[in-house]
Amino acid sequence: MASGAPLAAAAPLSSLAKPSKHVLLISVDGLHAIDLERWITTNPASILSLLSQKGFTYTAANVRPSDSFPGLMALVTGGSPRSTGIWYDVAFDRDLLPPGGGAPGTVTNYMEAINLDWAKIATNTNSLDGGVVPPRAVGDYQFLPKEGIDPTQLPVDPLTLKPVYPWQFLRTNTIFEVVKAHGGRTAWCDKHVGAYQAVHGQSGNGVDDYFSPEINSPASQLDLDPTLPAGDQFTGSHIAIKMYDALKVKAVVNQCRGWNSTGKKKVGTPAVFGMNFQAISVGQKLAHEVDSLLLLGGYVDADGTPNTAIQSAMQFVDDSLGEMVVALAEQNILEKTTIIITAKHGQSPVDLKKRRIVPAGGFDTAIAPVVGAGNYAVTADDAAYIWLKKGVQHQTADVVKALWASPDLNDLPANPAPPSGTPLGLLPWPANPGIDSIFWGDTLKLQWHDPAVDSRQPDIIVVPTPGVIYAGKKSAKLAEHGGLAFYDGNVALLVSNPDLSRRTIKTPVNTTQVAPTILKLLGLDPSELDAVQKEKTDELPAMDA
Amino acid sequence: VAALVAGAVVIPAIQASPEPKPQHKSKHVLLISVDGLHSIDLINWVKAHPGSTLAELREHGYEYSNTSCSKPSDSFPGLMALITGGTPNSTGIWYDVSYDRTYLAPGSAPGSAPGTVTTFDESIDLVKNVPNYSDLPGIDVSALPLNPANANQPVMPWELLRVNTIFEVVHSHNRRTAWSDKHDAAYQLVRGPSGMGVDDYYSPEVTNSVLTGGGIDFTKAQVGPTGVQANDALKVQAIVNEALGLDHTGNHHIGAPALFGMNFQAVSVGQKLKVDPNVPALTGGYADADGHPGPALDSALHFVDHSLGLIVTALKVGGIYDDTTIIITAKHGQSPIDPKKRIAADDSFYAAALNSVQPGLGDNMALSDDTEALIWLPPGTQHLTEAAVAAIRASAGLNFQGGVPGGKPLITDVLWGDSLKRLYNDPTKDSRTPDIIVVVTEGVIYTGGSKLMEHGGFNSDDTSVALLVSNPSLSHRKIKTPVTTTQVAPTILDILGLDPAALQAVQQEHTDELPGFDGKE
Repeated sequence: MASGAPLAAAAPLSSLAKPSKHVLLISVDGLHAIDLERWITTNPASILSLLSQKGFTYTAANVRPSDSFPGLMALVTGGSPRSTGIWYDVAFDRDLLPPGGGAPGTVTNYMEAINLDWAKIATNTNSLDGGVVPPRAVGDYQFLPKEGIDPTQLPVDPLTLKPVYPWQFLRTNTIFEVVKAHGGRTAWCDKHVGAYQAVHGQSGNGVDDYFSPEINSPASQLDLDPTLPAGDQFTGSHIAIKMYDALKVKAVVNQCRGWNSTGKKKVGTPAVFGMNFQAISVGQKLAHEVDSLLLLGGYVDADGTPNTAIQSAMQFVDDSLGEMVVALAEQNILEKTTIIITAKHGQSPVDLKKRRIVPAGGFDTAIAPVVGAGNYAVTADDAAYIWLKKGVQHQTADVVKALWASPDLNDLPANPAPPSGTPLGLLPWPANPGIDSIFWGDTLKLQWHDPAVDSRQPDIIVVPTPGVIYAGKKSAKLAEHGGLAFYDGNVALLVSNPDLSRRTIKTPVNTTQVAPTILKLLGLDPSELDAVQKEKTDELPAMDA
Repeated sequence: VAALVAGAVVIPAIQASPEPKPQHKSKHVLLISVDGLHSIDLINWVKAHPGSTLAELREHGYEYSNTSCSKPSDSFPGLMALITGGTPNSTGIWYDVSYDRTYLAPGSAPGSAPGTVTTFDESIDLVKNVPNYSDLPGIDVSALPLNPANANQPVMPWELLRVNTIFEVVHSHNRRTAWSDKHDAAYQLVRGPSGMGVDDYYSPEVTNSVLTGGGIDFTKAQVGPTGVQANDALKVQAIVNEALGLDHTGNHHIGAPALFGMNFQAVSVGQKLKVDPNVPALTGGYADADGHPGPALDSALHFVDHSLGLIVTALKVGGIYDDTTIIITAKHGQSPIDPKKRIAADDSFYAAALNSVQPGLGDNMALSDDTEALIWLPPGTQHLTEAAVAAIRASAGLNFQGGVPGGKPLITDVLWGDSLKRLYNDPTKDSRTPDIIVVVTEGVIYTGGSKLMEHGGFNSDDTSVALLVSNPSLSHRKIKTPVTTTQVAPTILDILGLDPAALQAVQQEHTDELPGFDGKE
């Protein structure tokens, strides 16, 4: 379809925003509402500031849970895990069979480990192209559905005994499918070759142009930063992560110019397209640049003043957005394009004085004696999600008791000297109550599905007092996401469009509201989204006519 | 007086409605705030009492189990959310005891320095401790702040509110309105800025202490003639009378209000009060972290359910049950549910911290604190906000349990400047917005006393409230989509066939109706 061709069915539009022909969705992973506000205030001539002059900024936006995988699903389906079935990149399903087959109940890995080359490389380190044969040239990371995925690494459907591809794991359709069904072109760029093919939606082909270089791969592949030790990953360097993101920026700029992601074919600018940035997330998590204290990660204070790494990442993101805006303008479609800046997730803690590493092994120590090793799964970053296998779910209350009683997880005394071997500049660990609340049984079911009914639903969600990061004892991570803390959830959200004028909307919203808003902006019916139907997701306020 | 006693009335057979009507519409809405009632309390109660009135109402109601009340979760903004559809950003109502940078202190001479604590609690009742629970408009005008922009006239409670209320909208369509709450004078702000929204206002003062003879008010016991249930029962009787088509006194036949309701205090007292002095077995609070009630709270829940039973019976006798939507929710929750999490903290460190920034700053600030702290700096000192925040963050007494560095953290977050403006109006422009908001670790209560729980703050136990919208034509649905109690107000107007956009807060804050009531079926 050529750029500018009208979409099929047109619905009445908001009085505030005229119909757009294109929506560009940008997830700056980790970007808090406060980060965006601060950047705009201190950089009035920046691209983000200009976009905000012509846009609505939703300053009380929230996402739960705050892992990247459900975070992206919220944006592209309009649903929470209750309808998408997606809780985490590494989660659990009580009905699916493990990769290769076996008894029901398996960890469900939808991350780099399902790329073709994961199991074949001794270091378990993927290449940017996921190991497709023949290898791709640098810059060519466009993949067809199933391409780059090793089906032997996927969980198995107990009925068909076939591997469950990422889009089959998703229980709903996506905005890409709806737009495509109405004749619009669709594109998406993200961080994993295989797992993020979930954006295709259940049809398996919602995205015309899927471009996703593997982030968990050695930065040396780009040969752009000779100071990096061989084998070091993009996520291990504040500099290299920008090189990585730049691959996707180039793809999106190509699309803005009416080409496909690789710049090889003139196909027209997609109706809906976009990408995620990783540079901010790395800037928040990584303590400092390899062998250098010039680029320091995290925030300087409790108010979210960025340190040098985040500041430099913000500049990079802003410059990249500038390239896209210029490309859209040159194509004469900037006026017809809505640009949405948001984030799959935030990151916490912002206040590094609150940072408290809690060895994640404490969960195994508490749970295994109750239900037996192999009968449960735990995914823990700054909250812990615990799934019990079907035969032991009746022991949920006992597991909860064991968690409350665990000396490894509760009443954590201050530790003035963190374990040796941690990087420079890390502060001592403060005392922390550890577990703040445990959702299970009826308290869990207030917000989520019944784990006895929904095979994906965790039985237990452990929310620690803010500042806690469950990780290895010597972890140097400054911050994490995945949990339910305020700064995990309070992400940036800016909807910019030449017809709008600057407005700050402080009404609480959820990032699930982005998906129906995108359809509305394109003149399509938001209720064509399964999750919007199931969860009654509204469009964003002031966009809902 | 048409007093209704359960069991003493014959309930007419319910007629099948001959004409199908729009499923969600009804002629009457009864709004009940069971102050303190959490979402989990409702679940636990219904599970344990499947034959109860709440269980019956839930059978044909939409249950929003992921509801947040106002933030802050004080009763005053909590009620405003329900009846205006707004947060403090539009209502200007932050707390019962709050601050305004432009008003003058009560009794000030014209030209006095602006900036005063605005107290809208029992202390503005005209006649203290009247034993017969006067429903007279008994406001002590001399206790009200003065507004220089209005010729230094006292600010009446309804003038404090910056937006209209559902009562005003309903009243303006010539339909009858009624409300009952806990303070005689202060809650007259439900009337809305016109002062005219509520036709029948009846609020027997809960802190009335004459009957007890010893200066002990209704909030200091659960049961007995001086217990909070006795005070709530007065309001229940008013609602029963109204359901029967009488005024609240039961003396005049005027037809049931289109919009009416009341708040219960029994649950809140059952959560907070350590023990009922009259019945030592009635210990307060929760038994565990999962929200199972202790004896006093259980007694309160039984009382509320029984009262709702009386009201439902009255609606049936009055012949309007089928045409009444009953909304059960709460102005606020209460924290901590888990008794082990309670930490009593000393708020005197706030004054000390601010005095260290500039002598007198702490003495002159306004501080409202319960399970959070709101701080207003006096006019002329707002430029010291950053320094005040630094002093708060540096105070061992404020930050660590027991005041000892290395103790458990008491403060989660200090909102000020940009982080505050992201959620609220700019305190340099809005005369009511606090300069500093301190969010505490859940469980922290600023108190020197024995109360087990409190509210006012931003944590989950403070804000996760019950919300059930029940109507005989609905079938039970559990809706887990996150909602806020501000969505109740536009939903009520919609149910009554009125335009939610008639609410100013709905316009300003883009408040949606509750899912299921927004015409998107």
